Amino acid sequence: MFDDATRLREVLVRAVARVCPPHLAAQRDDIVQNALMRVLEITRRGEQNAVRTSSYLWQAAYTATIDEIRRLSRRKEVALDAQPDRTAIEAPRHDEEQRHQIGLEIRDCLGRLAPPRRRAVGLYLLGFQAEESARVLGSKVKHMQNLTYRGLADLRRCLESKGIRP
Amino acid sequence: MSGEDPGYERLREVFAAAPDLAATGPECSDAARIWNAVRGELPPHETHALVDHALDCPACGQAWRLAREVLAESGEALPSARRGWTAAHWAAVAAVVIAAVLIPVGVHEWRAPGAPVYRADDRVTIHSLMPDGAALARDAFVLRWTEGPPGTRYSLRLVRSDLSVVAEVHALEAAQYAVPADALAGLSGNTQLYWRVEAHLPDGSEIVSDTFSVRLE
Repeated sequence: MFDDATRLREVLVRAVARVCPPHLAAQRDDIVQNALMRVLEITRRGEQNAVRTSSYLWQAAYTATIDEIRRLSRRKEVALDAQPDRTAIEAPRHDEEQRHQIGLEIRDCLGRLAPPRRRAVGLYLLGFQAEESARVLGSKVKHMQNLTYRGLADLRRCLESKGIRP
Repeated sequence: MSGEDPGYERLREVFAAAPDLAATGPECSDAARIWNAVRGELPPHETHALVDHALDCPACGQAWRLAREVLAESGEALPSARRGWTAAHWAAVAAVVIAAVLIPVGVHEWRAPGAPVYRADDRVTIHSLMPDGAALARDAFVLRWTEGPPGTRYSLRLVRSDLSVVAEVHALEAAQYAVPADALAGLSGNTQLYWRVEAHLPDGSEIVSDTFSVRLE
């Protein structure tokens, strides 16, 4: 009935494993399975409207996965909010705290870059290659490489001024 | 340039590490727009706004990363990087604008009536009353779950790992369902199955359970 399910599952399992936040690590399988079940519902409706295409399926799989991650994150938030004594929650470990702080400093420095460089560097930090960033931002690959190179140099200088050596 | 400097790789790792709770806000884009942006199908000003937001929002940044991963692995043909604004390009943009007007009807149709609706606080949740992965006999293949408020009706779907439907029922009044043996007739022993329940509450809202697994003995 659904020939693409195996391939969708394989791709989603790999992608979720790379992207899923640590606090949902134990629920990766659930995220993928829930997303696939929703894809089934989506494709059933899509079949009725004759809109089932390969790209439609991939988009459906992606949006369903994001929805699942967001839904589980919200559920975690509610669970924490429901705890009567927030001080009872274990404090984050020192290294996590430090990484979190560096993450904030990176965002602060990004915000100081000129917009074209900020977007190029931002996409780079999100894992995009120059060709991909160029497609997203509607730019030439060479131009994107230059923006990223110069933007990363700016970012490094900004971080070093804060005492952070990349 | 990527990957050449280990310092930059570390920056990537730190930047990608979402906080414990990557909460979304009202200004967060829906996933479909992010998907279209990553495919290079949105006008530049829209994409710029989405990127700017994602760089300040870990949850949306995560959505961008996932879109990139899925697209890269999907093998989907994508438009190549732009080489300048040509007449053909403007025509493509016009097509995207037209599609943006028309497509959401189809894309979001599944969210319309009947689509899963999750409450913000998930006060009512549906859980399986059986151990995940439990083995059930063909002649006693009964799925059970926690009840909703009085008057709740349930829909249940049982599927194989390829998502082909084994059983689907609606308007159940009890929080359990005995799958008929004939629905399981074509399945071999030790087959892994997955099931999920939609609870239709008396107040008109719907709650969708997680997906649970079960095994045919």
